[in-house]
Amino acid sequence: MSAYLAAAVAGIGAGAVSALLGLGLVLTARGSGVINFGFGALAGWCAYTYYDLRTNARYPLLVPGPWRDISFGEGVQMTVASAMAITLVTAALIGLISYLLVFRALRRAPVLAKVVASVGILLVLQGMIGVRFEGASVNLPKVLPSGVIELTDEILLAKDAMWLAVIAVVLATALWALSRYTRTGLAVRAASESEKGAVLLGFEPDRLALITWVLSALIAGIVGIIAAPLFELTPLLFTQLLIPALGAALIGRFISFGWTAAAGLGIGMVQAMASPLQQDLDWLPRTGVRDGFVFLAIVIAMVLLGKRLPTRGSIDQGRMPPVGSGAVNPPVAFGGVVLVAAGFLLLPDAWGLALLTSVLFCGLALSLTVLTGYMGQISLAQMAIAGIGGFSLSRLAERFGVPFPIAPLLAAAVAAVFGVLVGIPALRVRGVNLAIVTLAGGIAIQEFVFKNPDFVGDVTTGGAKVPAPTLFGWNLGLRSATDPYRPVFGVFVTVVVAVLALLVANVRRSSTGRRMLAVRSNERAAAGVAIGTAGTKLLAFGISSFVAGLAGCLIAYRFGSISDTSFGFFASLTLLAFAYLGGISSVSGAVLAGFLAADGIGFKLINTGWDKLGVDFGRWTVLVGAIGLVITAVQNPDGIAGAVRRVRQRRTRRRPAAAQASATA
Amino acid sequence: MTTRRSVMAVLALVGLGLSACTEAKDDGSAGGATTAAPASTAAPATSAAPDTTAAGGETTMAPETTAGPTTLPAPSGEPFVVGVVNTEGAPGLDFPDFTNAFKAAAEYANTELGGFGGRPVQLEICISQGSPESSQACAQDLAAKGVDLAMIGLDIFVDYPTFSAAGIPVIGAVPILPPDYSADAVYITAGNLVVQGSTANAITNPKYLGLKSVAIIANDAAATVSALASLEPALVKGGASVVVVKGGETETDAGYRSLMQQAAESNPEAIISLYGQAGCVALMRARVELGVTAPVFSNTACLADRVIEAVGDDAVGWYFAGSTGGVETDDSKTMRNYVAGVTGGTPEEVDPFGFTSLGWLEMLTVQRVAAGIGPDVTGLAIIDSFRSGTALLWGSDAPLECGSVASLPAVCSFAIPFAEYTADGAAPAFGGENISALDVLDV
Repeated sequence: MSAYLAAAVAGIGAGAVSALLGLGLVLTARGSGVINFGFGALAGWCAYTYYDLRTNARYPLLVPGPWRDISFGEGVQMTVASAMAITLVTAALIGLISYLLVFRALRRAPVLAKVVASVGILLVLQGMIGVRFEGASVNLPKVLPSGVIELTDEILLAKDAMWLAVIAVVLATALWALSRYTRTGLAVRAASESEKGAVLLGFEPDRLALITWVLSALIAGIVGIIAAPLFELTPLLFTQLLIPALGAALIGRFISFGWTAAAGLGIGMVQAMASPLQQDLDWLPRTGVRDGFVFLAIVIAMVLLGKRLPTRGSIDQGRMPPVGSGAVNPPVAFGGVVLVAAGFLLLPDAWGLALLTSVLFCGLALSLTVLTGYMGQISLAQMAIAGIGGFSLSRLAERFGVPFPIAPLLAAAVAAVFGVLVGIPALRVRGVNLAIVTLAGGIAIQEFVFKNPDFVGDVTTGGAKVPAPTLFGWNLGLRSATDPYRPVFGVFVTVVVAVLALLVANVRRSSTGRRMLAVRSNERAAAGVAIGTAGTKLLAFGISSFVAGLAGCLIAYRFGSISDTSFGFFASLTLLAFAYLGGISSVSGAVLAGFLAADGIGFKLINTGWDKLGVDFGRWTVLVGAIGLVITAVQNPDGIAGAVRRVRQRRTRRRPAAAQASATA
Repeated sequence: MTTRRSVMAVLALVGLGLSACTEAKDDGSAGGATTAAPASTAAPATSAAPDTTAAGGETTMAPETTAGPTTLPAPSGEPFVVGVVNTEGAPGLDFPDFTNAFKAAAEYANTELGGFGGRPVQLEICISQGSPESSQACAQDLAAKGVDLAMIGLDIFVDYPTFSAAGIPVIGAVPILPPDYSADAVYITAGNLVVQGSTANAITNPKYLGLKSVAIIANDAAATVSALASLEPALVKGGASVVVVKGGETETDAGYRSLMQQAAESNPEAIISLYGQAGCVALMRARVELGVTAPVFSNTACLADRVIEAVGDDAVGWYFAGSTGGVETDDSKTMRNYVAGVTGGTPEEVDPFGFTSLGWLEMLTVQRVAAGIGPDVTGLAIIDSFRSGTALLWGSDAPLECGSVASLPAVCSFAIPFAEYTADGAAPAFGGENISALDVLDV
């Protein structure tokens, strides 16, 4: 038992970090209804800023450009207080600007737009860390007292971890007291429960949201300064630490500071106990226990708690993007497919590969068209589902010799089953809460499945290989023994994705699609007209996961072998962001998403353009893409396809008016 | 997939992605460990091949045996084009040291070593960004440019089929993921598998330490799981009992202390840490604080200057797989000078270990093989030389053993040196002998 206690006590530090990050997340969510996925990256930027100030007397500039930093002079030693003050002011400014420029404009936008914008902020901050610090791993000087307290011979409590836990508890208590006993705190609570009510009482939700953003940014700054020395600071450290913090905030239902802090501490301690538990219980899985069980537990808890999870009572919840008719214009559709296929045949290899990336991404985005566009369910596990498809294909084809095309269809079916399992929580939770639950489900899949050598292979098996698809002896693969690039694979992928697009469009026009839209619009009303909401939701998850699984198979065919690195949590986040950017509720939006995808044909065009100008865009590419993502999310909350649709509608309206005017004249 | 670049490149890549990325880096370090430092070389001005070496997974401190002519004619004729693929610009996957080392080594080869077989070497560099797509694009790009040979810096998604279909031989430094070990390629230094096997042999073989109970401290990342899959059976085959203590991918100092405490609970005779640099400082301190006396084995990432400066004598009792002790040699001085010329910095700023030395070693090992072939050098001739067992590591006299193990056809090194940290600093362990992995690996 003492081993478990010792491990649990050792987990207090990590738990305290989760608690602090979770408190920041809850504060932002309460103030503005935004789950800020960029919160960890903000803490990371602050940690690096503090490091640069203290170590080099330099202030790194967050503004992109050739200017790198402001130096305070050679040999200057900045004091702890000065460095802290500058860092915290920076954090507050980032919070202020993020809200004023981005999230204020999205106040009445759909939840999805806010998720996408926060992903954009995350990418921008991480991109800037990459540009300014170039992947540096550093050790920050300790801010909190160091050393250990011997509780017993075996149980040692680190002083810095203890202080961090104390700070987390004090902060949670302070935030609770503020929200309960101060006028502003009560107003924030009121606004989170009923924004309309708060407005009627004379409060300004906008100002309240701004306050919470600045406060939470300050928390990020504090965490960056005091928690980073407990670890080795790497560019992704705090973004990684945000994942358990999201779990803590979820347990706190994004409203309770106390429960969030307790859950954060609890998660850290439970994770630390995984190791002795694994040694004592042989039957536990060898991999994934530490993180997998925590997130699995969160999923289960959320399913049980589901009905009690609140959603923000804003004045306007923001309507989901309008859905296209699903009508297919055969000449246009056929022409598009022929055009893309011709691209594979005519373009140089490098451009053909970029086009291939775009078409594959389009396939992945189509899965979200069904699930999020038609059904209104936000899933952050979509790439994990695609990975299930890819790994299942490897196992079926390599180990069991199942031939093409049966193997990919079976693999997609396996993905569909997993998708339905991930979707079960959707029966009880919705909106952004569902997004977080699916995130947890996706991580559980990663931990238990993608880390399992029995499933994904190891050195002795050469990893998860995938044989080239062959039909009646005809190689449809990307390469042959003598040809490094075969356009036929691109044509094959185009045809498959076109069929998927047709399937998705048909779903929209079918009674199934109408049921999905009815449930999306109003679950109670849909149930009132005898639509089975549960069955409809699970069907959407199933169809969507089948599409994602098939796209995962195509990805596996492309590379000839796959690894877990292609199907992580952030890949799911980015998929959702770019799918939304293109237009998540229509097939044309998925096509646009493919065009915009990283490494896709759009990126290739941009990079080539810069190359022509003699500019090495290099590591700026993703940063600029992320800034574009944020701008587009703010300017076109319905995605680019929505903007295009609006323009077309405007023109259509003008034409009769113009005709009438000329007739009158 | 396509999302990977944004994420990885941007960030992402975390969670899972991150784990593999982080591990890839660690693995690289381990491999880097094997590079230690090719030793003495003639001064930059006078050229010549290096002499002693302490490099790679292979050799140790061979006496000066490979010195070349003091002056070599300038390379001439058609350039020998080497395509380079390296990962840069993605958080967690940013290895510019490799690219700089390749450029510096190519400059060194052209300036002082007569190029590649008398022909000037020319680099075509393609930067991948941590995604399968960008790796594949690089392979296609280099295939389109018709390079003579592809050299991999650190790329976790090497697109072997494309290189193979284009008839371009591939030479890498460190195999990272499972497909690397069986790829149609040559990896000149030891990867994770060999490092783990050699470590198991050093611990269990009575010829070395002959210890029979081992605790392993590992994180729960996919790549570490793969390392454990080879390490545990190797230890068992060596007759040791094994306890595995698993931590998270990111731990606090207290977390690392707890892992060390749990590892010590079974009273192991030796401990192995599979954590990279992030865990080195905390685990070294924890071992001393807890009064653990069992020796700890790790990779060279834990011998980095930054780690040793932080822990001082707390590193005593640690062994570092793949390192000979980190003595500065003439060759590493030459490397510093040339790399500084590439980066525009000073030689003192150049890290003589890690990826810089690994890239330097890789390029100059190929140069050495090319020099033996002469002006008719081709990529295929170079790879054939490696596979024939006649290729020598830069600065060493021991032949590489590429393809000598059928199940690991791409691997060239199956024995590595170890360093031990003593009160006097880092020193060669086990008499400087290279310890084989093959005694305990089921391959």
